[in-house]
Amino acid sequence: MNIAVCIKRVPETAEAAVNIDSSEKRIVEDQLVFDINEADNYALEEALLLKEKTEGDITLFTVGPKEADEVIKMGLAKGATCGVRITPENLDSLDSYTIAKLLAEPIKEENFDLVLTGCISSDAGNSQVGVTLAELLGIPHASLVINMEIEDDSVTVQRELEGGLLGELKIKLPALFTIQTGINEPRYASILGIKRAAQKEIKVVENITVEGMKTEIVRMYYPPAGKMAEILEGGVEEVSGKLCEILKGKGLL
Amino acid sequence: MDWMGLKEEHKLLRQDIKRFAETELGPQVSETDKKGEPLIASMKKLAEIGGLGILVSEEFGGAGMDLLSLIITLEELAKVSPSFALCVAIHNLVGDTILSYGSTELKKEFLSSLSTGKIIGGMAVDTMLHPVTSDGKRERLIVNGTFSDIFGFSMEKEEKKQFVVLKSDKRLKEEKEMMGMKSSGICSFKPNEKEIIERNTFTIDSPDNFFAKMRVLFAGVACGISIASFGHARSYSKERYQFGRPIAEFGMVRIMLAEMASKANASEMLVYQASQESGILDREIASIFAAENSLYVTDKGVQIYGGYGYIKDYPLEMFFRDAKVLEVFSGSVDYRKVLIGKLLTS
Amino acid sequence: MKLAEFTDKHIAFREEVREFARKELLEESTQIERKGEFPWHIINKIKERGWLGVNFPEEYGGLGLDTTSYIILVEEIARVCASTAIMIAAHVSLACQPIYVHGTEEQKEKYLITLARGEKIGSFGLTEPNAGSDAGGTETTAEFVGDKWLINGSKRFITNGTIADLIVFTATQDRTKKTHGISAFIVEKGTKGFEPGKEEDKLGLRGSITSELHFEDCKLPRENLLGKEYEGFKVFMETLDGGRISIGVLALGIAQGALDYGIKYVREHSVNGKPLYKYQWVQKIISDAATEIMAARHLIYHAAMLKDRGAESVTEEGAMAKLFASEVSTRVCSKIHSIFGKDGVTRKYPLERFLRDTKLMEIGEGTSEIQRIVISRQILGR
Repeated sequence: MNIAVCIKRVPETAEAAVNIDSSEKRIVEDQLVFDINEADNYALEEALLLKEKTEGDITLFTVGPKEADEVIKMGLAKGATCGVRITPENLDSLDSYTIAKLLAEPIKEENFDLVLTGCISSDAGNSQVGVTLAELLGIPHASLVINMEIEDDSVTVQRELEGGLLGELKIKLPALFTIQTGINEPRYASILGIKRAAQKEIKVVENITVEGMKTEIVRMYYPPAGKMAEILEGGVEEVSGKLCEILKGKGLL
Repeated sequence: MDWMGLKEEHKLLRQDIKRFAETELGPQVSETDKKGEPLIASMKKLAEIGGLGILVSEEFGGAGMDLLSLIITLEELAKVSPSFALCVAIHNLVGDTILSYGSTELKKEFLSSLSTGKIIGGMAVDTMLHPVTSDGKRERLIVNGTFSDIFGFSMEKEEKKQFVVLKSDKRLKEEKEMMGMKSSGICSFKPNEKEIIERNTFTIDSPDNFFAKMRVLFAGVACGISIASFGHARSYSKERYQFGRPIAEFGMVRIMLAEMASKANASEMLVYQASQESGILDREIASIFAAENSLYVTDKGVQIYGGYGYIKDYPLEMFFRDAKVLEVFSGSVDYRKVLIGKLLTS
Repeated sequence: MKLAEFTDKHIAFREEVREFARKELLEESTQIERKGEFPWHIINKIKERGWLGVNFPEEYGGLGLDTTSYIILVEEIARVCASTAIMIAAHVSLACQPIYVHGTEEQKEKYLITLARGEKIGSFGLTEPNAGSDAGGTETTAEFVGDKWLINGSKRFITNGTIADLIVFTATQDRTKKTHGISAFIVEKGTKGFEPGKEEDKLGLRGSITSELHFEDCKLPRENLLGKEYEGFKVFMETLDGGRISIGVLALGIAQGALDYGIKYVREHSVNGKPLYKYQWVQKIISDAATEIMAARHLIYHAAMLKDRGAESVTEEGAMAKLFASEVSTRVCSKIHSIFGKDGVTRKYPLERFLRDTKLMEIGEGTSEIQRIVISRQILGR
């Protein structure tokens, strides 16, 4: 089985201070640490597990700057076969649709049985690239997948729905799934794998310009403090203490 | 800070080990430090990704990576658990010593089991003082001692530095009460002339190199301690409010942070550089610089945390103790400075 | 070591304490810290000698000696066992002292006498989770309801917290007034609504107790107010003026204790056949340490003697003494420690304990940074 996995390099913003630059359309990336998008890491692991069970190759795809080679290389270190990085001239103005379009071109050229992506990116958070890509490839898809069972030419997947509900689908291959976090336990790369991966070449697609953007970021901003909102200041303990008092005062605690 | 000499594999390795340390060690470090328990299961887990044979060639089941790779690994582990990093440093060094100086038989017997983590290696740390105990024997401290399968130590014999590898026995099981590095399974051991058999003994041709390598590995651990201590102190200074603002806004705290950052970063650069040079002087200078600065950085880290730096609920308390033990393991800084001065003028 | 200003009485007292420390404390000191249990049997012996009220008049149950004698006491005890010394320091300078200075005659009769005799143990509750360096940010509240004080809130890092029979503490009557809203009170163990909390697991001083205090609708009689209403800030600032000298001398004692061991060690051990003390690098460490310790000793006893001569304020001198002595002590302990090699990091020698113990002296009763602020205010003004 040949599998394509789409991965993205994203800044780790959970605990870092995020500032918006003067254009108001981008965040300042200087001080941030980058890593593979969390959900993509699970998608990659799912592909690696499948590869261990069945014969075949894993090809990694990413749309991003040169630094995105990092996440491809880490994927190669873990056991992926090869990687493709797509860096269009107008990288900064892409939307979900054009990213999907860029990915669709090379993926279409090869006959993949399965395409996996993460269900959401931790930076843009659109959850659109995967499903749009499936449409562009003309293959069925399932999103938010938390379990996969392959049987010959079809796959049974479980999807996570709202309110703890699960949905089970049987889908004909080739298909695309967007993988939910927690589906497996992503591995660490072996040190030997890292050594080998560092020598491997990544296929690069550049000097292209993609057209057909459907959405545009107008601006990014922190919402102004609302009139009804009270911003509690102080350290963690101080703030939690104050919060408890307010809740107590309103009879909520 | 990114050093120019870092290759792609080093960056990938750092990311991989960082994730390992945070995920595997993070949740248990505080408890195991309090109890003085080694993280043996995590050691086996690190073995699965090749972390126990980093310097050993692929032929003997290792990863065949360079010294810088091992230092980066130790640094990332030490950011979470300095004790664990010390265990890994010593284990890797046992393999490397056998690889560099050991006989073909010894290599065949132990190397691949060490590299794959089938057996764990311990080693005596050579501090600069070796007080002779009342029974006239030199007492050695063995890192990984309480849980190792084999262990090694160096000794003088016919004016040559010999390295002896022994199978561990019950004499090593009793843990030494230590100030820090409490999860490193450190125990004491007094060699007995009779049990040292020819087959398991080999000469270290270049003892100075051997010790310089040990120290530069300890320096890697020290860098991890410094960088993590600085990172914790920086975050804390932004969260801790006194006089109506974060303490990070006070000049005296800022000075401490600036000094911590410069000392931590400078240590790292120097140690990285030294890993690429084979000269003893470079390694000695780098390791002394890193050790001394880790004391400064952890001390100021505790200071920034204030009362919270003095209790075990926060990480600085452990880093402070661990840094001090590590410093002593490489020998008193002043004594080593005398030796460096000698090297500089000879 | 001699100090020019010591009287014969001081020297005799120092000999007495030194003898006690050597005989009663030296052997046990490591166990006290290792077990992390409060050394009651030692404290009882100290109590029998009247040292828990060393510097208070005999009419209030004390020994009637001067502040300098008290400082001598803490130095000599800390030189052997800092855990025991800090317990004494907190009792004398933080609990007895504010009652002696600010208490009414009734309060002195009722509390000071039993404290000074050592029949009761005292403690001082200032620090809170969110009010460390910024003691003005006190969040524990005191409200006068009916004819009682209603206390609510928590304290943290309180020395002697769980073992104290009596605690002098601060609470705010009006948070908006910050430092001017704070008043000082006395609470006795067993008072309803008052409960000592969790004991801290510390880097050092593990034979001493540091704990939380919790007040939940704790009612105190009107007469438990110490000093005037809204003047609690003054009470604790004055208390800390003296407390700083105590912490300074604790650091000094620890540094001297480390040096004592260092000197012994370098005389008894050799490297490559040459005694350690014959190496210049060792001589440098020992002589620097001895010099710095001497300088710290002068600063500390200068502040103590000024107090004995009735100086109006020793704020500046006390802060300088504490700042200098605590930083010297950390440096000295760390340096001497490094001579010991691996003997310094195993618990075979007490050196590692000295280093862990002394680090608190740069933090407790005002961090070094706060001392610098205090000193600069004295010199430069606000």
